[in-house]
Amino acid sequence: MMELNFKSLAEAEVEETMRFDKSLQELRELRSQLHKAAECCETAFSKSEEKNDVLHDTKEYICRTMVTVVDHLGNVSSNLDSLISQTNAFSEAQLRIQCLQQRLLSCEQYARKLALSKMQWNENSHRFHSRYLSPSAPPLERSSSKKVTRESEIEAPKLEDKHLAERYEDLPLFMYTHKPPVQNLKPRTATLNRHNNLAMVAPVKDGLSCLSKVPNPKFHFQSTQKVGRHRRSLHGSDILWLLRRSKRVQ
Amino acid sequence: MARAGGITNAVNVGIAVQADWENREFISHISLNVRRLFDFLVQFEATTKSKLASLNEKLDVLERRLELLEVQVGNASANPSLFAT
Repeated sequence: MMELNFKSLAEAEVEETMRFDKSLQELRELRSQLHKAAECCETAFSKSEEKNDVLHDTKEYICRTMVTVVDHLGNVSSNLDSLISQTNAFSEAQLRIQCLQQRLLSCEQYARKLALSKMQWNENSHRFHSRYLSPSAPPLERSSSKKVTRESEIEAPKLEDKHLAERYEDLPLFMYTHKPPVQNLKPRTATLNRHNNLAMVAPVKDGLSCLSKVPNPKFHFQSTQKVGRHRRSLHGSDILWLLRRSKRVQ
Repeated sequence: MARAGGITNAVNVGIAVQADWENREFISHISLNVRRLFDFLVQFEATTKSKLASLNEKLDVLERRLELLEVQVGNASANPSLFAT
């Protein structure tokens, strides 16, 4: 049904175009005919003896020619006007384009729904919890390599204790999930030992250790009350060492 | 005799003048109709131009819409994974 309508519309457009071309061609031919008629009238008026009759015939011919020209012009203009005013094709094209746009929009919405369904929560997907974050490796190494010289033994714990204290304040959950690497934080009772053993099992060390907040050791303004006892003991050992040295010198 | 010749000459002149005036009237009528025809042609040209301009605008809009649709369809066909279940 639609194809038949389109065919009839196309045929009508072709017919209109043919009519317009034909009328335009006739108008062009009329121009040349008028030129020839004017030349004939001029020669007849100049050659004939009865000039009044020739003039009268020429007048009649001019009147008829004017009517014919007007008729031809009207025909051409009406054909052109009908050709231009036939905008059904544009409205059909607009409807088709709107239909295509709606179909495309529905396809896009369908694709978005599919993408969203892919991005939905899945039970099997991996989940990472912040409380299972492991600390960085250097503190462990420091605690393990603590059997060097005496001076390094004295100097190193100060810094490490400070950093560790601050770190354990920043990550309180870490205390329950990871073994403390420093000797000062070793548990002394059985219950603490039990907790420590549990903590040995729980931690999950993965690549997310870099996400744990590591404080900068250069900018440390925390009070040293927690490690003040160690400082005092170290200070006493320094005094003892100085006394022994003075005795040796004497 | 001379008087009769003078009268006929006057009549002939009168007839010639009348014919001349008739010819002038005819020419003025023809020129007036030609001018009307010219005015009609000018007006017709203007209306035709305006109609053609509106049609051209409609065609431009349709072409842009078609280009947009082509680009959208091209993007959709370039990513077939979007429609893969």
